[in-house]
Amino acid sequence: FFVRESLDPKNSAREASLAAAQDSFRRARADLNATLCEEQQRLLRYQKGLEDKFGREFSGLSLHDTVRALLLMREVKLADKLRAEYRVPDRRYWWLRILCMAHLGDWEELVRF
Amino acid sequence: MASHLSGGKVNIALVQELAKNELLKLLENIPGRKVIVWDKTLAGPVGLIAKFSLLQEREVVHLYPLESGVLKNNSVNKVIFITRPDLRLMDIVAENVHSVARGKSAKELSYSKDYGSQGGYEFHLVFVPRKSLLCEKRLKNRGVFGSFMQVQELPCDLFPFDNDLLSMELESAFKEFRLEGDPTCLFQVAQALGTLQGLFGTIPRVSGKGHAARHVWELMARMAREQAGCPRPMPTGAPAIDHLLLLDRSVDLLSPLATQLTYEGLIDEIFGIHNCTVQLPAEKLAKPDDSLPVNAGEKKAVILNSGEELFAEIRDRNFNAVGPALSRKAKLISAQLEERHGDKTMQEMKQFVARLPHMLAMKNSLANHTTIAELIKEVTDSSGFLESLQVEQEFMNGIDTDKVHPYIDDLIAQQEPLLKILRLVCMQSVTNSGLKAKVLEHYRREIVHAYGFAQLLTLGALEKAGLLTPQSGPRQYTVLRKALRLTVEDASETAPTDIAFVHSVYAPLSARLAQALARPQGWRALQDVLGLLPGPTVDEVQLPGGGPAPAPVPAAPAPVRLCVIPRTPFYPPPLLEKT
Repeated sequence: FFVRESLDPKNSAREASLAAAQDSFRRARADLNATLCEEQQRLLRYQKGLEDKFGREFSGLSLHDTVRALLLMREVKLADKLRAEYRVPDRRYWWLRILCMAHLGDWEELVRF
Repeated sequence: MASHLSGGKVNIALVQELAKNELLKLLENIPGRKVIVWDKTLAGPVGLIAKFSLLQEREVVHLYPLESGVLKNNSVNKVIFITRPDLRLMDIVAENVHSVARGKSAKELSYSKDYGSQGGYEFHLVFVPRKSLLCEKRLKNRGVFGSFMQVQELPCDLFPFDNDLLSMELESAFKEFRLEGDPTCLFQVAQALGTLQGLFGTIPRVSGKGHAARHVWELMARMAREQAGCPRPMPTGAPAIDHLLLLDRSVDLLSPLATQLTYEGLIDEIFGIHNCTVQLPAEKLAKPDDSLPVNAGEKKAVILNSGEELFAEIRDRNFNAVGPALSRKAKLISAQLEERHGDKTMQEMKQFVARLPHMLAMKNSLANHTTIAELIKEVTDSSGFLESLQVEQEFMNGIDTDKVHPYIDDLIAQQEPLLKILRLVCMQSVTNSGLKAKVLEHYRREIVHAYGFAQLLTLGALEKAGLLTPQSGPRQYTVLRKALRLTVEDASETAPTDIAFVHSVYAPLSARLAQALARPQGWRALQDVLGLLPGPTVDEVQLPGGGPAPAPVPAAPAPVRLCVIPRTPFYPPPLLEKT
């Protein structure tokens, strides 16, 4: 479980240490944690992609914040995709959608629900 | 100097006196003008034992907080560092010393004529409460240990808060013990209790629960044996404390998670009380006759202790009872002030004038507390507060604890402060005696998704501390709730007959245990219940210094003082003391 410490420093070898953490979690039979590690790796890669695409900082945001950022940029499709990929529960997702729409002042969209 | 400390059953002022004398002795050993550099966590507590004016009399010119970087330069060349023995702090001390040494040598190079003749800096180091070899080693490694003229210790474990409350101010004790497996704090507790016994006589009965309690008791017994060879002067007469109760925090994890509903408790929930002082937004408390304009956002410190008559009366009331109490007081005071308009004899006039300062002080404190109460009311009336409270009470009554709670889900979705969520989740875990694997996984996934991957570490820590656990074994909370009457349905908030008023529904487990002790048969009646709680039970009789056994002092039904419990799950003292 020492590997977990190596996650926090924003070093360049984050992915490597994440993979190591995932491994040790698996060995310790903490399956959920292992899955979460894997998701985090995927998310980091995905965020890199987003950074290239939109030219702004994404890396380091949590999944929730990432989705919110996308929604606030009106990239609903991308957000939907993320939601499907990480199995975000409906309840949370719709909260997020509604809050974001309210934030954008997108009342017409909101009424359409 | 602190009258509010001596009023209780046990004269706590003695503890203060002892600590103060130690500190002053230390300072007098270092003659001349000096500055003190405090470890930030100590500055507050030490303020409780010695006021700045007192230090000034001992030629202390300035107090600085210990910060990394360059030591604030000054004309005084005697510097005393007062710190906890903590390696991180040692690094900062070393940095400070280095910075001064460097600064000086640079100056000496450029102005060698002016400064060269001046004596060098004199450093002293004081550890509270005692030296640590590890820290000295660290300083040696950093190459500064030789710079200190003296390394001393200030044996001051207990800081007096009020006439019935002492605190060791070890903020991370629970974390150190449970997470890092570091029992240093237990040793300190045992030492502190030794000091206390030195002042008030050997405590005849000791009860305790939990591993830490057992450990502390063993340490105490060992220290007593070690001292048996060289007897210390023990105060004669009947011991002032007749029962000591040691509780490991892990016995009662639920109580600190619940929202406190007493007046003092709510002040702490909302503004945070540290060392008996609370920082409040100053613009709210500014009086119209204050000539100084108050900057917005500035904080004003208000000291809270039983020295203030009004606060002593309302501090432990349920908040719903505070309003009526305040308005009653207000009427009383205005009635008293009105009296002066009536016809009076010279004699009556004199009496009135004599009482005037007291009445004005009352009026002042009344105004203060009314404002504070209004500030609290704003928060407690908000729907968020009420909803959380409702969920808490549901959990305590054992309703819906075994599935994912929609309210918590909503909170996560709205990214409410993480602490609030963790508190509720942990509470659910404790009241359900561990969460089902599926529920736990759901929360874990949600929290990591919403608050970022780093929270996996937080969750791990909580699990290790036993606050967040997968379900295992029987549902002990349900049993405990029944056996100890942890929840009370019809608790009256305004005229409390039961301790449950502090949370409106829930009576803290630790308080119930203390109450049980005060009954004649003590814990013997509770054998089954105690078996359910983690850790061994301590129930011992201590004899003072090998003398004849004293006549049993009946355990007087002492008023049980509720420990004010801060909100972080990593709550410090594993020690609730009943005197």
